[in-house]
Amino acid sequence: MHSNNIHHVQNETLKILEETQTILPKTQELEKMYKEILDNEKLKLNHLEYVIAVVGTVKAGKSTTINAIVGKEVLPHRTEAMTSLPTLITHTLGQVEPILKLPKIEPLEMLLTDIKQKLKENIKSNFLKTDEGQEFKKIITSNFSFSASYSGEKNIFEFLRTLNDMMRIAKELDLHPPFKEFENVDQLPRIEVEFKYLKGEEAISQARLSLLDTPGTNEYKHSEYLNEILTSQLKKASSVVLVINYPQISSSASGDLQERFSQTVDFVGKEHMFVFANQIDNVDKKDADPEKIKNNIAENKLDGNISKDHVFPISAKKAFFSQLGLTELEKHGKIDLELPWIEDFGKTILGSNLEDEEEKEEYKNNVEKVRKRCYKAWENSLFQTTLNVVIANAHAKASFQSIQGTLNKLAQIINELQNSFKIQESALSQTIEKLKKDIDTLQKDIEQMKSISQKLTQQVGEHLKEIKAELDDLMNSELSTASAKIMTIFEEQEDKLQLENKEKEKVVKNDQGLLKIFFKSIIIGKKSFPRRLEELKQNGTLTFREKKDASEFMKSMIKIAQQLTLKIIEDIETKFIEKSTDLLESINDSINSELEKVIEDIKSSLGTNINLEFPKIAFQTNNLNVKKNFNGMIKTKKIERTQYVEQDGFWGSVKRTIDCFDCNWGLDEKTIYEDEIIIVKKDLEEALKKLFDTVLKTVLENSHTLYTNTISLAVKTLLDNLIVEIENYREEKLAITKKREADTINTKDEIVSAQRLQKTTARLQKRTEVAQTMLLKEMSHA
Amino acid sequence: MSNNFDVIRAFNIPVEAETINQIQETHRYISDKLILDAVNGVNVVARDFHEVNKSRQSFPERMLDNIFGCSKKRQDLINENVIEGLNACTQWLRDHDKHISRIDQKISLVANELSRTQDEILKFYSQHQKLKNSVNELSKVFFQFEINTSERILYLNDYVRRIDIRTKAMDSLDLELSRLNSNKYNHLAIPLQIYTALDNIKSGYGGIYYDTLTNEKEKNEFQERIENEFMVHFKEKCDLTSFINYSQLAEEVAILQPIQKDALAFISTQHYNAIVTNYGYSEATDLVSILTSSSKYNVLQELDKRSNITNFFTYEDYLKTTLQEHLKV
Repeated sequence: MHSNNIHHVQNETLKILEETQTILPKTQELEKMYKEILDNEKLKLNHLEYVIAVVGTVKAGKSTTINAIVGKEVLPHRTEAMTSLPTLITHTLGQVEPILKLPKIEPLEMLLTDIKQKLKENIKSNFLKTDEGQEFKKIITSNFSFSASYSGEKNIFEFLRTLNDMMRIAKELDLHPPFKEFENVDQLPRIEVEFKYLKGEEAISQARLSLLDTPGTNEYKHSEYLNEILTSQLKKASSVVLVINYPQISSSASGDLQERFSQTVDFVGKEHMFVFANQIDNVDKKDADPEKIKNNIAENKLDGNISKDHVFPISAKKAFFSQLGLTELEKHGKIDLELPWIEDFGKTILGSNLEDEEEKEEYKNNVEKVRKRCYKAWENSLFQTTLNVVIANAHAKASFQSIQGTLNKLAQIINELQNSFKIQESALSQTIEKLKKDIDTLQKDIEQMKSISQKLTQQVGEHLKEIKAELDDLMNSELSTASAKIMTIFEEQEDKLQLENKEKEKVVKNDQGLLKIFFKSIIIGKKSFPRRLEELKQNGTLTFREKKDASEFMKSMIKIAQQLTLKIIEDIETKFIEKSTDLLESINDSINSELEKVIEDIKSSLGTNINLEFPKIAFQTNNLNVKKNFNGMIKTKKIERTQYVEQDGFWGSVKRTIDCFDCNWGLDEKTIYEDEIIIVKKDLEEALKKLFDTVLKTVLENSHTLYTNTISLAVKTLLDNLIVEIENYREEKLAITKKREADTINTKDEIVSAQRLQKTTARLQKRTEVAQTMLLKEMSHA
Repeated sequence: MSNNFDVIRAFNIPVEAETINQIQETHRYISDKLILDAVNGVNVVARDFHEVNKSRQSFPERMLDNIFGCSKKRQDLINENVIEGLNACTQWLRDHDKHISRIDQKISLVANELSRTQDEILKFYSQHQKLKNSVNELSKVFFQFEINTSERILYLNDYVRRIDIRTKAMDSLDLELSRLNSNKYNHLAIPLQIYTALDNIKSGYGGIYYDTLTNEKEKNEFQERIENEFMVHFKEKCDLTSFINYSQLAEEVAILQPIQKDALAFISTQHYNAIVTNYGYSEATDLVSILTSSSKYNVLQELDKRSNITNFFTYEDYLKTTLQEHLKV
């Protein structure tokens, strides 16, 4: 129902656009301008392109997941990393054999030339010592060159392997791969192929769905460059799927997963982030309950940072092989048991060893059984619902953005057209003398507006500088207060812990007699403790005996840091909005006082009550992932500890009784190794510094974007657009004046036509408003 | 009525008197509309037969053409029925002074146009072997028809001056409201009830009254009055702010009696053509036309393609738009 509603809004937008195309003004330049804008919007609306980025933890089965979605082995699923450049896999209806297209060959060719050059210099390389390295060298030193496209799995794999080897050797040779050349999505290698799963999906046929296969950020350590393109690609993605190896994740600490998750979630927001808990076929039956897995990931491993509805337990391997099997059955009516993938297929889908002749024979003659098993495996892979949800989510986000953009544009154009028709009507009804006079006045008014616009822009710039300085001061003082507050808590905990630990360190001796207590109270007391505490404090380490205690303490620190950070951001935002409201008011005052008269004059010269709209300025808040900075804060250290064990026998107990001076009589020394869970003060300080630096950076970036790009630009654009709009209206009047002077138009008919067009635009305005409301409603539901 | 049917028969329109009577219970001006369509057809054949056809190309499977044989009728008009039909029509215009409708005005307008393009029509007809001999007679018929319609216009103007059109217009509004209140149109889906009742008002004295008003304020007041009365009535039947569900509507139209469906298809398509010919924006009328002339399985696809029809039509907007489209044409 939901995607159906979106489809209706999209279709309505297209309809409004088509109707608008039929009422464009006949003035050549204007018609051309509007036509271009509308054609472009139509193209965007009809060819919705959206990208689902697939990222993964090490050996999670990213490629197998992509292959399973495609229903074909388009990416080699092998153990070593194979994706050295983000690659798009695009659903193209009817493209049965995959084809890889390389829109940008030159940068790769240049890197290849550089590598060849370096290789001549006899540079040492570990990679070249391997068989693969030798093979690579052989390939590139022959007549190798990249081509614009590669057809078929075999050629695509070869290309990907060569590319991968190139990146690997480039690192060793200290060459920088041309990653910057691939920042734009259109420049990336793209494999076009029909996704078996989407073949019959009508809604998708109107759009272009691509999967973005992303390289691991540390592959071959080109990370700083690769990160840049990854960041820009992920920001543009409609949804992100994080594939994880569930059996591995569930048995290990959650740090890695949390890190990987937090690296990605900020790009798309958690409402567009999905976790595929892969390899559930390798989980014990008792732990394989999908609900249990969802809860474990969402609640335990990711601390509730993602809804469990966005976690999907899957078996990509089962899904992939079942699709391969079904395709083979569709194509040939049977499974060729000599196919290279048949062994894995047998194990995964049939649960049988197809190398065994007897078993081979059994399946050879029973196609129906194979088919049933494939369907069953597909069902067990839990892939169907997963894909439905993820694709619908990505499609909805891409549709929302695209439709909203077009509707806003349409609202603006229709409003301008409405004004234009009103002007036409009045220009046709006035006397030519009055028209000429108005045109002259308008010219003067436009000149005046231009000078006011300049003055206003300057004024806004000065205001902004002042506000920025004030915010910087506020920010710095708040951050240092917050930092001090957190460190005080750390120190308080330090005191408390040391007291507790001291108590625990004491060996419990059950046979403390009255005599001993007496001696101890007189002779020992607690004199050594305060000295030791000072020592530890300077050391700046919190030592916990239990990991649970450390985690709890860390959680409470994170919570405090989160609260403080949010409070700071809130304070800054309040101040920000307060200042911005003041600024906007002053801008509006200036616009009103300076421009009001001119605009009134303009309106009267245009001869009608036209509607000049000012854009709304929206403020955005930024969500910060506080937890990210505190990952890996708790460390475990093996320590050597001496423990005293009571000696057996009578003598032991006698010795212990007379040991009033704690000389450990009657006790044997024993060395044991224990885990000590520590949190280092320096680490915490660094994490806080890092967090606050991010807060500072984000707020500054945000304020810069808002002030410079939003307010300053909005004011300038508003005035510039207004001037252009009025100039267009003046042109319109001028054109009508000329026609009327030359007596080339039938004034009466033209007036009727202008009136009729006003009615049509009024209806289109209403339709646009309703479509906008419907879209917002759908967006809030989503 | 028998008078009307004589004209219809003379034009060789393949429809039974019984059928006309049946349809007339809901659509009071159906026979007048058929005559208008026939007269208009004469004009269309010679002048812009092509253009009108083109404007309807988007729904080739229109049922109304099969039932009322509009296209066939236009072709068939190139025969002696033209003469017979126009003669009958001339007589009808002369005789039926007791009844006045907006259709009469429309026929007068068509006749004026016919007289303007007479020479071309005659040239067109003289090329047809079968009609060559009748061209002289046709010329006479045209002459007579033009005189009669001119007389008719004079008569209408005089009549409008003599009688209180306003009272008759208000009566016609009351009559439609009373029909709605007594659930006479309940066999139709709500949007079709609105369309039919408004069509009956505008095709009769309501339309004449509106057209004779020269003051914009008075026109708007009359329009508002109809709108208000209808709103009061229909808000009891549906939530006026909710959107019309097209697929549900298509289901409701599908179970209509074929004759009812075809009558609505004919009326709305004729109306749609009139709007488009006058370069107007037709939305509600086109919606009714598509709903009633496409098959149940094609309706939604057709509507998806029609950019002039919104996907989000509230009952209130539909009511206002239908009224607007009825009165302004």
